[in-house]
Amino acid sequence: MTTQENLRAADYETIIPVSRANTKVFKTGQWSQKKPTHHPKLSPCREACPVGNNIPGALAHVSKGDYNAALALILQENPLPGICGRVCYHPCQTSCNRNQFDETVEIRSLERAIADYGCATPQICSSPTDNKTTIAVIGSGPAGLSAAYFLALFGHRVTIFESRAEPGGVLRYGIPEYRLPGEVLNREIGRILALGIDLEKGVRIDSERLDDLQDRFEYIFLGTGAWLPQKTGLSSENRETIQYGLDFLSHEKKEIFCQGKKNIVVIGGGDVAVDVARTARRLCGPGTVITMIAPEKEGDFPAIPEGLAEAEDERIRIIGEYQPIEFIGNSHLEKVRFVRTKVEKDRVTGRYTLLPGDGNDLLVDADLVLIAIGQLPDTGLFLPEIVDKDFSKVFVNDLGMTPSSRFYAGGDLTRKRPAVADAILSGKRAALSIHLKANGYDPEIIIPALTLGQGSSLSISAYIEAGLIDLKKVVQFAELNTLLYRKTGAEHGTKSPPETRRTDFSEVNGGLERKAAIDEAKRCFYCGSCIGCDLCFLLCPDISIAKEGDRIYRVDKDYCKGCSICATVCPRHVIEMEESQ
Amino acid sequence: MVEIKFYGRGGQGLVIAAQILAKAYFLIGKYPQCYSLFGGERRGAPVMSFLRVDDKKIYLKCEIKKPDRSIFFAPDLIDEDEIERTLKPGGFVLINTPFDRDHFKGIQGLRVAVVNASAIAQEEGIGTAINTAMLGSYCRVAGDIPMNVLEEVIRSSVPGKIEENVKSALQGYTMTTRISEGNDL
Amino acid sequence: MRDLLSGNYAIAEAVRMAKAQLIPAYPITPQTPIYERLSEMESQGTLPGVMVRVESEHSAMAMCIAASLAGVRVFTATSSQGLALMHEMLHFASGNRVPVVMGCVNRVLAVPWSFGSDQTDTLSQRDTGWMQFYCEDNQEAFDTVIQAYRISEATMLPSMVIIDAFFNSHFIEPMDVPDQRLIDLFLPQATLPERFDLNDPAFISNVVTSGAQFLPFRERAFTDMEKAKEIIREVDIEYRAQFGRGYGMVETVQTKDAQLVLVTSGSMTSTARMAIEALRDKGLKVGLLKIKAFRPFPSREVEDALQNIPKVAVIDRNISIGKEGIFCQELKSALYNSTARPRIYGYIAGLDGLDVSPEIIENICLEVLGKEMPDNLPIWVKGN
Repeated sequence: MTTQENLRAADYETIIPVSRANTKVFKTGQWSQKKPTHHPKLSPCREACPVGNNIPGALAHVSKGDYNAALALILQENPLPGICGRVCYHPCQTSCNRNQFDETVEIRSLERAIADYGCATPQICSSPTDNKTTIAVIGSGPAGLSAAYFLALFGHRVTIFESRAEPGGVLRYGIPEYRLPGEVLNREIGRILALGIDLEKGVRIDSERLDDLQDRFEYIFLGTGAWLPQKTGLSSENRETIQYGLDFLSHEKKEIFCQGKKNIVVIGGGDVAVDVARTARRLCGPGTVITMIAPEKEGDFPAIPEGLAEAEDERIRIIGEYQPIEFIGNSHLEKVRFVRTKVEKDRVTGRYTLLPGDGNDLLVDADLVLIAIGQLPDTGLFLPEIVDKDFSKVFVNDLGMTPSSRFYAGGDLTRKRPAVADAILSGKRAALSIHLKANGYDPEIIIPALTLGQGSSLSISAYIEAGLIDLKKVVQFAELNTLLYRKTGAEHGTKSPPETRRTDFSEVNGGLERKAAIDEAKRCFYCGSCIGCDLCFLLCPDISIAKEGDRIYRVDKDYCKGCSICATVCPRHVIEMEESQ
Repeated sequence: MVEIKFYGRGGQGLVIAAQILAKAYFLIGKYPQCYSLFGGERRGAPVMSFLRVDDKKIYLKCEIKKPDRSIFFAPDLIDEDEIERTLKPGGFVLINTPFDRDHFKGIQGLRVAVVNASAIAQEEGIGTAINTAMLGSYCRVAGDIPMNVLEEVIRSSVPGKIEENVKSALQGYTMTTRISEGNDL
Repeated sequence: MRDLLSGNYAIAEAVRMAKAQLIPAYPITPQTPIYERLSEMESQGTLPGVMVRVESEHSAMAMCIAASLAGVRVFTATSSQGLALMHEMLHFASGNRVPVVMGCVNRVLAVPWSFGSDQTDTLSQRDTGWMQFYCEDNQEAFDTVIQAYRISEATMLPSMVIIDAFFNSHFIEPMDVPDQRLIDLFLPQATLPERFDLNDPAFISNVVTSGAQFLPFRERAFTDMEKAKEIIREVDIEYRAQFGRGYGMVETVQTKDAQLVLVTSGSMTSTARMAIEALRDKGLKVGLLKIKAFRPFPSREVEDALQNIPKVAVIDRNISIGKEGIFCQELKSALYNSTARPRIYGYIAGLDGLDVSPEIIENICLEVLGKEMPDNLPIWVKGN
């Protein structure tokens, strides 16, 4: 066996080529013209969100089951996620890129799930060297709460003055419990007040008090809302069987108004009208005919479509393209006469005007009429220079400031879009303006830079983490690599059955279960946000992308040949090829 | 050396039949060599199997051109001219057929045995698997394998319906009409 | 133990007893029964190794190479188109000096598409740096697989154990299956070098930047293949001592006084033995040379057996289009520098498993005996 032994003793590495050197000496990337950069961008949902929520970031946390991290992220932009997650008109879902693939991600339900299942405290975002100032916030509705929240996070001293017995404004006295349970409201307001904000309840501000506040506080934020009802202007409108939207909803005797009524007519097509009708339904019993009539076409009502659909489920009759012209009846109201109407939008001013339509009048039996055609602010108290000539609103500029430099305002008082999310935005904008001004920065430069995309919303986190994300580039559907996604339907929350709803003020929408919410969050494309999927790292043919931590990748420019595979495979359009220097 | 050639169609159990027979010869101390010829395997296609048996090692690695024994599972494959030309003297032909020996007039002067193996297999409930009936019949005609050895190999070789196959072989053995040079034995 | 096995099953049995640890394979007629039998053993729990179903023969060989480099004893089997697909990886195997043992069942290469035997598939792999052993029958196939592991692991060169489609692969014959205990004594568990060390990473199959770097590896492989001849002889002698059977790189039958020596390989050799016997009975001085080892080519043995023989007839079950039968070419080149070289007559027979009967072989011999000079081109034998 000598021959075999000799060969066995051979050093095997002499018979095959083995290299223990490496080829790093060949810097193969030095000739390439282009290099990839990880460049987070804006998602269309975030651009559309008035609050500026970091939706892809929060949903990425939810997809991993981490509700706490998701809530912490949401609280950077939104003081009231549990409320927005229930009542928002969710423009985010309209602009979701997933609409072009299968159907939108249920972002609103997910925000609710984050608020309900998550646990986090808002992060203070001031530095100790910042100047601190004092602010009086008048009104504790969404605008006031939002302004107070962000001012407190910036370290300023805030006191809220609320005329009613409890804080919340329209959230508490305007939105019924079946849409927004009181415990959710209390939880969210509690979290804001816990930042060290003083709240003075039952304090109505008159001109004397206003003078006093100007002495005590450096800045004053006005967020008193719009509580005066818009009237029809028809004669015999002033009787007890005719009530107005927010007045009715916040009225102690609303149950008594409804008792024994056979035919209730609701006039108006907005969210308040829907809430009025649905509240009446719960108070008057199932036998009563409730009819909701508005000048807009059915399908074009300004109210959120889900709310209208739920109203129809609760057997509320909906009729479009009519407006009232006469309340008929002597001592008791008997009927309302409507005329055919059409709504036209002026292309220049954007205002709506009501014009006569084609068709016969409509005579509707009515023993109670509830009018919800709009709300007006009470501006009588304020300095004339900040109020417009017909006293219909307070002027503010793009920084949330009134013509009087110590006064800022937001919410319905300024007659912008009357939605909770927009009110939150106005409070946030004013808070940031005040903070910047108090520290000697120019809000006119900084605030536009923090505006998201072409939209109007504003990011506080972008102010704190400047430059981490490109706020002007919005990821389009065509820029995504959707090869890795599969078409799936959205997860929808449960709803209580219409029969039980008609007598009950408990919440209609059950929201998403924890597991369903995680599944739904996984549907998100995370447009423009790196979620650490590692595809760039795994598929780089030159092993030129190093992973240096969670969602931290480094391109080794000495070896990257600029093949752009990483940019092509990135499902979220985070990576782009740029000319190398 | 004895050379045996099986003719049939896919599905009749021809390949297994040759292997069973090979095992039986192996058990009684012979040197068998068996193989099959089939192209693209499929039911109903013509198939041939071959078996050589000797007392010593067989070296031939080629086809059987002049068999001592020709076993027809499918009578429609009979080529009477070829049988007359190739069958070695002293050999025999075994045919699965419902007819009697007189039916095969073209092979006068040869030893021909017939058995209705298809009917037996039907009777025993094993469908077209006529191989065990044919093997029983073969034992009767050839006379060089004891039935108990065949039964033993069948029991260890067929994949299912063992009792039916054993019975089928016994029936084949019994029901064979042995004919020598045109006369009943 | 005596058993009745087909050639494919004999190889599968040898692989089981050799305790191959990893068997990546892909089925192809007529090799499929090897794959099926090994799978069956694995499902019954009698296979010491693990089978992996790969997506192609190319991948099967790639996996064999990687596992073997990591010190694992491996096996795979293929035929025809599968072997052709594997071609690139065959060079990687020999270049990486991995002792892979592969079962090959000779089958024609398309086109036309067919299933019968033709050695051109393995002979096309002549220059891949693999050892090739052509086996005559099932017993030899079994014995050669066992031997091949010893030879490959001693030389660090891969080997093919080759049988003919159908005449070996599907012929069922009695054979001896040795005791596992004796096999274990002859072929202990693999003690291959583990050439992957996680603590000292290395790149194998790397680029070299000049011919000067490249050449020594080829030269070394060539030298080791030459040395392998001695190892093949030693292993065979040891095997014969242990099991009573041996084959040599070539085998001669009655060549001493022969006027004509017939040269064959594979299953045809068995039939040729009968033909030679018949011719001797007729008083003709005819002998037989069986070539078993094709790579390394047994030039010395061939020369010893054939110089001073007046005539040699080579029957090839293969064809190199544009030249002649491949064994015939190899034989001619091996004998060219001999002092007294024979005249060599080339025949092509048995392609696609066409029957080569003793009569055909006898007729070839008679023709050659009566013919003064060989033809320039091979003679095609088309049947009886």
